[in-house]
Amino acid sequence: MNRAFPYKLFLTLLLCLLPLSGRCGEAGENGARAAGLHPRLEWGIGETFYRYHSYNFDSQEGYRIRGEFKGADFFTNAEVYAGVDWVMGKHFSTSATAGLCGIYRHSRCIPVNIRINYYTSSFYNDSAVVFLQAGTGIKTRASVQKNALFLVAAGGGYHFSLTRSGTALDLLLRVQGSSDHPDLVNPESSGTVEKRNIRKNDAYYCALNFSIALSF
Amino acid sequence: MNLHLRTALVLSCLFLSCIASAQGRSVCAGLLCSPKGAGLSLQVDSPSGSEVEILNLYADVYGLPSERTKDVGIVLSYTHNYILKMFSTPDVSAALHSGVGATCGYVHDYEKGVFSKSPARFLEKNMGGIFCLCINAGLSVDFERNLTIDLSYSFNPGLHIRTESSNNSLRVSLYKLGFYYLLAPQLSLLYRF
Repeated sequence: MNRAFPYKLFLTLLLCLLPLSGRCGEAGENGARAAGLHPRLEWGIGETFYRYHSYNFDSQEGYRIRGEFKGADFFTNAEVYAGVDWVMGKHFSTSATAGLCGIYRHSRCIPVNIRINYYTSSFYNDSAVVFLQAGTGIKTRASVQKNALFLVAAGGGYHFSLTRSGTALDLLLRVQGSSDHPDLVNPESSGTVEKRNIRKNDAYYCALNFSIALSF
Repeated sequence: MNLHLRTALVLSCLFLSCIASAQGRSVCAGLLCSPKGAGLSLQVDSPSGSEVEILNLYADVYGLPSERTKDVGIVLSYTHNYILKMFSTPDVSAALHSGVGATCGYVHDYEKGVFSKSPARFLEKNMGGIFCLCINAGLSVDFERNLTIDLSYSFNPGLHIRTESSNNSLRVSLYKLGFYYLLAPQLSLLYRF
């Protein structure tokens, strides 16, 4: 998967959502809006609590080096996103966001996420919210393997409606899983293992993220 | 107890004493979020409502997101603001405010090399005390449900006083981040008591 894939995906999603903005302000029950497109800002912190890393590469002298780690491993990251909320009806909205987030030590990415939200009441009222999220991203630092990362998450929180026009504050908690291909430290010399010598290098992380979001 | 913890303790005590002195006046308190760091924010309105005192206590994370250091600084800022203009709609009322005050703390100062490769990118200078003037301007938006969102920018010209790691001598320099942080927005989510 090439590095431009996340950008293309985000642009495609934006182009798909733009025609729908014509539905903004559509009246629903009691004169309240039932659909609309709202800009969204979201930021927060995440605590990685589990890491799995399995690797396998050829040494400079030709023999194979294997390694595996799985278990609790803690690392704190931050994240910031900007995007849009598309309110699709009384109970559902879809968010498309892009931003910057930390995955693990030396691993930060520019992710593009899609999130499906379910509101127990509605977007335009105070409501509990649960959501499922999936996304992809590219790493900010040049690394040996330039493959895209994948992120999936599930969570919930509370949606505080601040105005009738859709301004809202969300307090959200989610469990996030992410994949990565971190650089491998070369045990035979300083620096990292070259891509042509890597046979397998997959890492997966689990994190608990708390975030605050503002929709306008 | 090291200097870092002592500074954090003194600044926290100052913050708490300001909260205690605000009894009987209109108070908002909540979270401060900024690219500079995160912490607590307190706003106390004057009885006339034309002035507001803003107190921020936050952890300064310069160099931490870019993995240039593992140190976290602490900063306390106080500004006395005047309401310049007020706006209102059926749902919200907003106030443009500006004021001056002082900032002190124990932090890292700006260093070049964020885009360099290791090890040149790590912060070399020690953390040090800052003593700055604080010029603040922002927009405060009050919502019906006792929530206030305040977006502000602050300019902190002042001094950074630190010890040199090579010979332990005292070094005083201009606090460069005080200028660069003018570009960093501060967003406070406050609950009106």
